[in-house]
Amino acid sequence: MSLLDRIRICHRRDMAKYRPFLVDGAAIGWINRDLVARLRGFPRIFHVAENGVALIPAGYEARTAAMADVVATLRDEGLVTGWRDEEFPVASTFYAPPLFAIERAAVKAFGIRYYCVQLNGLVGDGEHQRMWIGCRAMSKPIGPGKLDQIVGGGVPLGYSLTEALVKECAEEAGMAAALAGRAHPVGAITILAEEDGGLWHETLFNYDLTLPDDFVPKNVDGEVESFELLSVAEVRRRLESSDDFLFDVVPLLADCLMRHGHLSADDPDYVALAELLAAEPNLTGHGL
Amino acid sequence: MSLLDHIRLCQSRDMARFRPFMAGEAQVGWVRHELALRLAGYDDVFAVDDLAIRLQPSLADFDSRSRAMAEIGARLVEAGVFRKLRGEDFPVMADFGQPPLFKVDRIAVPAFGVKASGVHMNGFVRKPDGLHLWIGRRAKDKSVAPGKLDHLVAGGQPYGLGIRENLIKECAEEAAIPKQLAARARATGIVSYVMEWEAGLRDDVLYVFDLELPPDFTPRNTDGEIEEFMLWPAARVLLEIETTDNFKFNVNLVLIDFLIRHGIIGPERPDYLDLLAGLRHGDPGPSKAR
Repeated sequence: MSLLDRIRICHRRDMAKYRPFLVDGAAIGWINRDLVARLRGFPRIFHVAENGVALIPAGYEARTAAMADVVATLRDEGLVTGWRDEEFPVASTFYAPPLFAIERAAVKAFGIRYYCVQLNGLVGDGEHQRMWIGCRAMSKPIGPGKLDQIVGGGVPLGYSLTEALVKECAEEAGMAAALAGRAHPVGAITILAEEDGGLWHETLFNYDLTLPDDFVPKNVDGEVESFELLSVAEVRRRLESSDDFLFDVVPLLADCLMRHGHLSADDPDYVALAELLAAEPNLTGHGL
Repeated sequence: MSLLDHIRLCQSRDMARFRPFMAGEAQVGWVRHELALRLAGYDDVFAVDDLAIRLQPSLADFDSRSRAMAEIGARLVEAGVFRKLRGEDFPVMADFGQPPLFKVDRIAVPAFGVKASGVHMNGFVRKPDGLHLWIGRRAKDKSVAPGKLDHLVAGGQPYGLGIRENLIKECAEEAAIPKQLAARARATGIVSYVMEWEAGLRDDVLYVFDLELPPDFTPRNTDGEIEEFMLWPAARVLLEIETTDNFKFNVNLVLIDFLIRHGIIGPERPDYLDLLAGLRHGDPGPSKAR
């Protein structure tokens, strides 16, 4: 499969199955038909109408408490799985004050956009550049055993991007804060994909860090089974010829290959690939 | 101008003023309604209706289409629509990366709203106090953006040259960069925009390259298109973009892309995601067969 086709997977969805999840009139998520039907059972919390599902409680605390009750019920019913005990902020944009907080395991069911920090761990430069690639632990609720970047994770409530990155670098790769602090931002990629019955609406803030030759990542939190140092050619080969990588990591790695000059501008897919990497998902359309 | 203002300028157009330009089944451009009506007079070449302007079906291959468009170019110069031919052919294609369906003189590119591309190269130097960029000042007699600030190397993508091939040629012509050094340039992505232009529409892709230069390298212009070169710290470049319109309109976008890729513009800025989305936004609208 071409890189382009693999990245198209990150934009595969049928929004016709979803209704907007509204807070103060703004759509902050997308809920599928089945869950909409279930949410009718919470008439004091949701106003369910044709044009959307509106959250009734007002104010950060009341919304957070009401959603926590709903999500706990859905968990008991098996509709929300993979409990994390970690809260994500919910807001109209990344830069707006949060409207409420929600358990991380529930964001995909409500189609809420969430934000992650992702790191390319690079060694060397030019043609012989290599990348540290992690293999996700078999115990991970998402993508067990899949290949991943050296470090990546959601930005929890109350963390800045830099704080979240430094925390993940320590937990996932045993990286000292001084080393992690040398990472620099290189862009962001937003995807909207229907996968495993949920909506992945994520913005991945991407960072590069060129690591010393003698650095070896060591996982601390048990979320990464092993690390491997691969040549960029091998990364590209596996991206194209296997589905070894977690699907939403593919655009981040393709972007990394492109920014570092490992893709040819004369490749017929080059422009389409670059534009797809920057595409803002159209929330009302059908995706690709 | 804010960073987003520069992007908005390059992304501003009213597609209601244009109709599709078709070659066979493929849409290859956009023509203003007034020009389409005028071109209806050349009915040996064009079939014009309310929906579209089409090359006549008898013009079915590369050579016959290119010849007919060259003839139209000459007639439009006579009619005073074009000032003069540029003498440089650009490929016309249904999409970037696809084989050309015919070629046209560069002067006809915006009038027919056909896709065009160019190469832009950031020439940078790593110094102890951070990244520095080589900036050129365009000659006062350039037809587009005279006297504006520009990249170390930039040029249109003519018919018949590969993209990297063109970059190496422009490196030699514009900044006397030897082939061996130019070959170290890295393709790092694209910037794309669709912009309404006095003469029509620019549906552009700029292929972006970075070249790290040794500290002792000094560019020298050899074709008279650049008046002087200056080496500026990245922060100075950012300030110049944010507070002036001294850079050529589309060079601002390529520099914003560079500053983002190198971490000088970071996600703590509330316009970060809008900048990223705006730098590659080549789709002019739903009526296009993409």
